[in-house]
Amino acid sequence: MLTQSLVQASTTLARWSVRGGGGLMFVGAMVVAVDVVLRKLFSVTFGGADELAGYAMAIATTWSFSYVLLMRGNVRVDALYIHLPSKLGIALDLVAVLGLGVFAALLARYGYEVFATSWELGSRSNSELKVPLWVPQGLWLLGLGQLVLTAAVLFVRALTLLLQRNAAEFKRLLGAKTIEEEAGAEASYVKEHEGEFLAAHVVPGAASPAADNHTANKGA
Amino acid sequence: QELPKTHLRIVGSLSNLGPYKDFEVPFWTKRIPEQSKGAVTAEIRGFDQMGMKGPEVLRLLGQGVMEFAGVPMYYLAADDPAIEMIDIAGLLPDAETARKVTQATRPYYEKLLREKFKVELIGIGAFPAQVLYCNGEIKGLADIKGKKVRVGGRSQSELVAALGGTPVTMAFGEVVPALQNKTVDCGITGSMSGNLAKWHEVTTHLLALPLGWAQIAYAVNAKTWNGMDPKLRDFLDKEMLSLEGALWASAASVTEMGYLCNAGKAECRGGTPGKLVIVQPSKADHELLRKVEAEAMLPKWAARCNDACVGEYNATVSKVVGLAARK
Amino acid sequence: MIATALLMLLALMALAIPVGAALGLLGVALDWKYAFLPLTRALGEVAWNANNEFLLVCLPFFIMLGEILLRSGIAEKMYAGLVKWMSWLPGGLMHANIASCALFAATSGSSVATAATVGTVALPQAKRFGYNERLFLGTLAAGGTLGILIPPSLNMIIYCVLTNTSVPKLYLAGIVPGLVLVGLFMGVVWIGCLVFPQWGGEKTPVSWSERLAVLPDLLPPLGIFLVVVGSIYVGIATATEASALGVAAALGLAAWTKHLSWKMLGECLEGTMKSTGMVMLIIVAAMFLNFVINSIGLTDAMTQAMQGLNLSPAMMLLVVVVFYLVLGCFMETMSMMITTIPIVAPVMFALGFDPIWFGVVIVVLVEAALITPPVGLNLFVVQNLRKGGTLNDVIAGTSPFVVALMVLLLLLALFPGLAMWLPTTVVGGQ
Ligand code: NA
Ligand code: NA
Repeated sequence: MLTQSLVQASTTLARWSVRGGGGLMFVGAMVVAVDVVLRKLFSVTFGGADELAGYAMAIATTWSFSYVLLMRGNVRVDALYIHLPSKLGIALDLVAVLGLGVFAALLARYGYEVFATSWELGSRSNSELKVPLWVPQGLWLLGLGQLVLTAAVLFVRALTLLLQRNAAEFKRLLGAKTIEEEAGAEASYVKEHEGEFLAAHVVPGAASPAADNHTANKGA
Repeated sequence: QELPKTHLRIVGSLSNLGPYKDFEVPFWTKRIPEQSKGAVTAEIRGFDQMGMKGPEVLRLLGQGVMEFAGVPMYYLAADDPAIEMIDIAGLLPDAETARKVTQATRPYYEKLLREKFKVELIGIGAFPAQVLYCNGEIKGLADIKGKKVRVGGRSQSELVAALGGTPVTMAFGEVVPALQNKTVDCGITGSMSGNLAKWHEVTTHLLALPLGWAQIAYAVNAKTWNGMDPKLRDFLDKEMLSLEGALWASAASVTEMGYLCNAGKAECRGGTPGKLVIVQPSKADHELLRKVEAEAMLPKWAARCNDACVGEYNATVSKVVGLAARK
Repeated sequence: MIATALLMLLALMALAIPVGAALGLLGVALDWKYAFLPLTRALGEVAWNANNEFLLVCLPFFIMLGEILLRSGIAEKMYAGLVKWMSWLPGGLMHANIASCALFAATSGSSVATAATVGTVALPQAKRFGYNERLFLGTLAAGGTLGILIPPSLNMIIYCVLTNTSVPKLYLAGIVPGLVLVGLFMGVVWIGCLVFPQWGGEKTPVSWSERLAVLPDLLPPLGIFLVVVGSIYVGIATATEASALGVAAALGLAAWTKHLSWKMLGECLEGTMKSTGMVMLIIVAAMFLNFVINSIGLTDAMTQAMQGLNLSPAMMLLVVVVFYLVLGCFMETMSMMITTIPIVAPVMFALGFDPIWFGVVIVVLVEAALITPPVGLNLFVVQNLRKGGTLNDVIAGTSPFVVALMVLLLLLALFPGLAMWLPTTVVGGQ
């Protein structure tokens, strides 16, 4: 059960970091937009909105990596995968999280070198803002570290589930997304509200049951 | 004497510009094999072609990810403000002064790069002068006031601000449309590279006053360099002198050629004839520049540099240009 | 070396390792096998550079913009409005699908977002009015690809980052081919429904007063288009800044229609970062792989192999088109662009092809990749929106539109002016 609560903790953390990143990106968008308007109307500029937006994206990006992993949002080519027997599929799921974990570890390892070099050299951005680079790079690195931990937690949890022979839970946690699951993610909101939208806007009489009589697929 | 058989992998400077295409590539792929009678061969790619932005090249060179590299020094200023001293915007108004300053500071840079980045400096070249293009009439430097100017780095940005303009940063590829529809009024870039990027089609005036040189540092990973056969090091040192000489001569002549091309003169070679008004800098322009340098640029730069670096400036650059810096 | 790299890539992909990790690990493997310099140490610098590249900041901004438009009901109203205007044509709603995709494309930088948004509102109509379901699905998957040809466009920006080309010029170059493609897509529907009238579904009469009444619903997307694309040309903003203005405008619209709330904004941001994180991991890995294959000389080997073919420009173009069509069947488009364009583009430019024109060609090829099986993101998206049936329905229904894309390529080759006329007229140069 320890591994399960670890997954839960990672998920909670990932949810907060993705929201933090989203908020940062939103502020970035507003700062850039306001900067453009100020420049147009008053010929003044913050001087460096683009630079700050760049840092915001770097940080927000790594802060969202763990969430993407936990939501199984990473693209996997499943052309072969879906045709495999389920045991082989489970093996590939394990390889997938391991592969991602290894890449994440390398990213964090050498990302640390970027941060450490900036720290040691006291590097500042070559712009008016003179931002000490270790600050955005440190925050960026936190997200990479989080990804390594998340991948490790998932891997350990996956092994536990294998020992328990709990294939259903394993698939729910690590399997490549099935087509229906992805559909839900793409358009869940609109689907929820489909009825209202259609009735209100799309087709006259759409809400009437009579319209459903024409469901026969006449072509092909 | 026999040189050991060696193959070098060179990371060159920006692949779409003159120094790379016209000098670095023929130097490494033709001259070096010829002069070494086939013993030394080399392949070269611009750092931009490898997906690098510039500032990280020196770091990667020190880490041994790359062995030989050429990189504009303004990219390196992020890791050490002392690197800026060689090209403070507006301080070096002609190629001769720029070369003198470069030679005077060379020992300092050799030491800095060796000690701080574990990299051996083997040569410093330069791009043609950075000059001001404007879409709209300008009579001199003072007209920057109130204008939005696209700049390529902190030093240029400070110069524009000191002259009362609004510095704007944007990707090089975005500048032409931005000048065209007046997102920015002016931009600073090389007199010839601006022509090659078709800035002359979207501007009307060019101020023939060099505002920067974008010196290129050629450097080698220290371990690689120290592990080389001494004969090979001597050979490369000697050959680098010829590359440096050629680059500096070209920096001066191409700057002039850039003016000729942008003005649409018949002598134009290697560019596209434009029809820009070439504004010759007046005495007032030079005076304004010196005033701005003394009152704004040098104090600002000194403020972010440590005492040692300011002292180094006063011992070298100041001797050439006659403007001291104070902390 | 080329064959080994390709085999390793296919193996990693076949193992269903996430695409980002697969590309990154391939880079590491190539470093071990072929490089004598410690190239992997550059991974951190490459990742940091890719992550804070200002030109790429428009990626999260565009996604945010689409999320806001979707969650504020603006996209749905737009579709309903176009249905009233287009449904009299042979093929009825299917024309509305294509027109909606085109209109949404004018606000969105992504094909997937376009297909998902329009598909979500349109799909329930196919059965209701007896349309040929396969063709109907095809209009959505293919129509969605307009998202990257009609500006704004993420893939165009990526192309410009990789080739140092002007974004506004390429945007302008995409407009006319985009409209031609709308015409070609509608032509496919038209012809199909002339030959097989039963495909065309049932018509519902619409009065002119109804049509006029829905006109205001078409204004918000046009307004966003004016902000996002117009601001670039009147000289207010650069491409990335324009996408930020688009977010602000969409936010304003959402507030105006009283859909804006903290909950809605939170959902938008979570959705935005989920998509951004997914794509950026791939971009980081692809950039690193690009660095490695450059450093070990693989790029040179491939470039020399291409030049060694000694083909005429026209033949070379044909080779490149076939290359991308084949690769596009198997590869995700973002990683396909990042790994191949630095190799292919310089060769094509050296042969005298215009960078802007070639950019349009690449975007059309990417559109094809989005709808060719087995790996076609738009096919997946549309299939995902359905409540049953197999992917084969979508593939079959989309195939005629692949032909339309080929026709567009042919037209671009025969009449380069289709792409070049607008940028030359507006911006000048080249
Ligand atoms: Na678009
Ligand atoms: Na495909």
